[in-house]
Amino acid sequence: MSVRMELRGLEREFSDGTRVGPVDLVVDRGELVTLLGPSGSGKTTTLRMIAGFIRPQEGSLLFNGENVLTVPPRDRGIGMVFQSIALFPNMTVFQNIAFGLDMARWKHEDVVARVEEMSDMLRIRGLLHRHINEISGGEAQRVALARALAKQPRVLLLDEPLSSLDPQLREHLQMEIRRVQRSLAITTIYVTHDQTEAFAVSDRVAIMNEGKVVQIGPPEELYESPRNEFVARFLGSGNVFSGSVEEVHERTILVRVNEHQFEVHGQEQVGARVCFTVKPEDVVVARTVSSDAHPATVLSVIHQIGSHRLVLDLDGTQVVSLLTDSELVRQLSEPLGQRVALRFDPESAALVEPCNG
Amino acid sequence: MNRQTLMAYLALASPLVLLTCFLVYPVVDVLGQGLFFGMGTPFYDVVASPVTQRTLIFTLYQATLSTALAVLLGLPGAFLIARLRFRGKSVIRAGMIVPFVLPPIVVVVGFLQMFGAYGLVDSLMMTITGSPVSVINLASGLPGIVLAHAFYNIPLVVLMVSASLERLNPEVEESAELLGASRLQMLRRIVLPHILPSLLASSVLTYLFCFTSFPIVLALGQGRYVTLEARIWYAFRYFDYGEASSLALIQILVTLSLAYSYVRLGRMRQQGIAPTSTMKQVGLRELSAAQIVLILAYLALLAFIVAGPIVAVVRASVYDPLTKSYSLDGFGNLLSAGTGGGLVPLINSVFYAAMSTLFAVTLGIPLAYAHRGSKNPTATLASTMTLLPLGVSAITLAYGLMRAIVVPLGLSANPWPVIVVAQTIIGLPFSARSIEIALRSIDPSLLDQADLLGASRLQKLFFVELPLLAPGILVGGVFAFAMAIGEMSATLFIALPQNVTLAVAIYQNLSVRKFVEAGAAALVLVLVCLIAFLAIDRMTGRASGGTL
Repeated sequence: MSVRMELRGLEREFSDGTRVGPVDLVVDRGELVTLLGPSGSGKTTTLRMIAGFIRPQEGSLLFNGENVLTVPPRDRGIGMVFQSIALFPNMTVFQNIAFGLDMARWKHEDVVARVEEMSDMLRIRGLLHRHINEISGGEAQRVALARALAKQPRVLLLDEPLSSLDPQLREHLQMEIRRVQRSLAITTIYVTHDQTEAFAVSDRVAIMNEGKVVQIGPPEELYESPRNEFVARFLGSGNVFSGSVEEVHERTILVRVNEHQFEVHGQEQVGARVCFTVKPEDVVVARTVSSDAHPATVLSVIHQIGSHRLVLDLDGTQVVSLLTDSELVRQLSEPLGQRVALRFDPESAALVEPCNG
Repeated sequence: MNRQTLMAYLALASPLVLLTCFLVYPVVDVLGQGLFFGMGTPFYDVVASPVTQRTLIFTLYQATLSTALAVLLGLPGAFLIARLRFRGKSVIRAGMIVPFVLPPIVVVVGFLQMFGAYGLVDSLMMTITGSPVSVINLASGLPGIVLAHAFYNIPLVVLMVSASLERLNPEVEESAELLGASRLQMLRRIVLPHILPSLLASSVLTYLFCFTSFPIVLALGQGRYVTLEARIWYAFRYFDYGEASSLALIQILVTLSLAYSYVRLGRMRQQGIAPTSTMKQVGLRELSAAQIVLILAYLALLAFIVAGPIVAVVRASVYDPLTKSYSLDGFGNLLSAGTGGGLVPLINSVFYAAMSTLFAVTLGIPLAYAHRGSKNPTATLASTMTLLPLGVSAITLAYGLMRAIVVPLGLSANPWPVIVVAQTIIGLPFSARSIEIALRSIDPSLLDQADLLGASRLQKLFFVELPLLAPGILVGGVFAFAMAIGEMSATLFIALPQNVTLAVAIYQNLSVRKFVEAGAAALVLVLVCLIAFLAIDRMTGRASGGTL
C-alpha cells in the first residue's frame, strides 16, 4: 500500500509576502523523512501542501508517479497527526479511532477488529471506552496515531506531534512512533524543530531554511559533513569560523581568522574568503600552551550526561568543546576565566558554503 | 479571625444581605401571603381555572415559537460571523449588543412603525395595492409578539453560538476531513456536537426572556394575547392577590428551572474547550455566486427584522399615523413640564437610572469577587444571588416590593426609592458579570508580583486591582444604566403619576394614541442606548458579547 512520494518544485507565496518553496523532495516507500528547521522555515506549510490544506501555486506532488494535487485531501489516502493532537472531544477513544472507518462505511465487525488491532499495536487497549478528557497527553498522542493509521493510509504525516509532551515521555514516544512506522513500512514525513528528535526517528533528515530544503541526508551524514553555514550552525554547536586563505598546501589550506592561523582540510585559492566548521568533540583543550595551539579563555562549563560542555572565548569568537576528561574539567571549572590552549586536527575541520563571514 | 478577613467577609456579606431583604424576602412574602392567607382566588382554583391553563399554554407556545424563530434566524448569522472573513466584522459583532440593551417598549414603538398598521411595510403594501386602508399589520397579536421576541434574541443566539464556533480547533475539522468526512458528516459529527451546549444555552436564555417578557406582550398583545406575566399584572390591578401570587409561583417554578439549566449549560460550555488563536475562515472571494446571493438574502432579512425597527423609531418620532402628517410636537412635549409633558419623566428616568447604576456597581464588585472564588459555598451563594434576578420576573419583583417594602414602610405616597431598588436588582446580574469577567482576566501572578514588591493589601487593591478592573466596572455601569433607564415593567407597577419614567410614559402615550410623543421619547432612549453601546465598545474592544 505504501507509496513513493515526490515533491517537485512545490511553491506557494502568501498574501503577506512570505514564500515557501520551491521544495524538492523524494521519500521512498516506507521511508521516514524528517523536515527539520527553525520556526517559520516552511516545514508545516510543506506538510499542509502535501495534505492538501494549502494549494501550491507551482510544482507537482506525485504518489507513485501520479500527480495528486487536484485530489481533495480526504481522497489522498493520508493519515495525519496534528500538533494540537486534535482528537474529537465529544467522542470516546474507540469512536475517535473508528471515525475514519465509519466514514468509509466499514462493517461494524471489521471496525471493531481494526480498532482493536490498532489499539493493541499502540498499547491503548485498556483506554478504548474512556472519554477524550479522561486520558493523559501521552495516551492522547497514541490515540491520535491510531486514528491516523486505522484506515491504512498510503502516507503518514506527523506535524510536531510530541511538542506538547515532557522530555522523558517524548523520548519514549519517539521510539514507539519509529517502531510502528517500521512495522507498517509506511511512507512518513515527520515535522519537528528539535534536532535530537529528528535524529532519533529518521531515515533521512531534510533541513529547511527560508522555505527551501537546504540539505538532505541520513543524520550522521548531515552531522559529519554539513554542506553550508546554516546547517553547520543549526546542527552543530555553532563552531563556525570565517577567514581568508593565506597559503595552499597539498591537501590543506592555511586560513587566517583574526590573529590566528588554522590548518583546514580542503582546497581553495589564496586570498579567498572561506568558512569552516569544527564539531565540538573535535576541539581539543589543554592547560599548557603549545606552539600549534591557540590561547583561549574559559567562559563557562556545563555538565551533561556523558560529557562536559566547555564554552571558550577565542578573541571574540565563541568556541564550544566537548570534554570527557572529568579531572581536566574539574581543574578548569574553578575558577572560571582560566587561559587554556585549543587546537583541532585539520582533517576534522570542514569547509562550508555559502560563507557570509 | 483577623480584622482584614472580617472586613472581607463584611464586604461580601453586604450585597447578600441587601438582596435577601429586597429580593428574596419580598418574593417569598408575596408567595406566602397569596397562597396561605389568601385574599382573592385560592391557589387550587387558579390552577384549575381554564383561563390560567390557556394563559400558561399560550405563554409556553409563544416562547417556543419565538425561540425557534430566533435560533433559526440566528444560526446562519453565527456561522457567518465565525467563518467569514470580512471588513467591519468587529463593528457588526459589537453592534449585536444594541438590540439587547434596547428597552422593550422602544422596540414596541419601532415595531409598530415598521410592521404595524400604516407603518413602513403597510404603507408600501398600500401603495402597491392602491388600497386606502391598512392592508397588513404584523405588529399585533401573535406574529407581532414572536417577531419582536426574535428581534431581541437573534443577536443573542448569534453572539453565543459564534463564540463557541470560534473555539473549535481547526485541526479537529481537518482531522475529520482527512479521515473522509463529507461536509454534512462534519457538521453532524463534529460541529453540531461542539456548538450544542452554547446553542442550548442561548435557547434557554431566549426562552427565559420570552417567557417573562412583559412590555412587548402588553403593548402588542393588546389584552387579547396574555401571558402569565401579563396576567399577574392584571390580577394585581383587580386586587386579586390570591391569583397574582399563585400565578407568580407557577412562573417562578418555570423560570428558576430555566435559569438553573442555563447555569448548568454554562458549566458544560466551559469544560474542555481550549481557546484557539487560529480560526478556519474563508474570504469573500472564495465564495460562489449562489452562496453570495444566499448570504445577501439572509442579511437583507436580518436588516429588515433587526435593524428596521431601530431605524423606524426615527420616523415614529416625527410621523403621526392618525393625522398622516409629520410634526415635531413629540420633541416639544419632551420639554414641557406640565401634566402629560415629558420633562418630568425624562428627569425621573435619568435620576433613577443614575442612582440604581451606582448601587448596581457598588454591589456588583463584591459579588464578582465572591463569585470568582472557586467552588466554595460563598461563591455558589453569590452566583445564585447574582442570577436570581434573571429568574424572578420584573412584575413578581415589583409586586413583592410593593407588598413587603412600600406598604409597611409607608412609602405609598411616593415610592421612588423602591423604583431605584427594583432597577438596581434588574441591572445587577449585568454589572456583576461584566466586573467578574474583568476580574478573571487579571493575571494572578501580577498580584503576587505586587505582593513581592511589598504592596499592602489596600495598596494592591487601589493601585493594581481597581485600575485593572476599571474598564470592567465602567462597562458594568453602562450596562446597568441601559437596563435601568429602559426598565418598564417593574417601574410601571410601582410608579405613581409623579414617578413616571420615559419608558412608562411611552407605554402610556401609546395607549392613548399619542404616537409622536411616544416616538420622540423612544428616540431619546435609542440614543441613550447607542451611546451606551459605543461606550461599551470603546472600553472592551470586542468582548462585549461575553457579558451575556
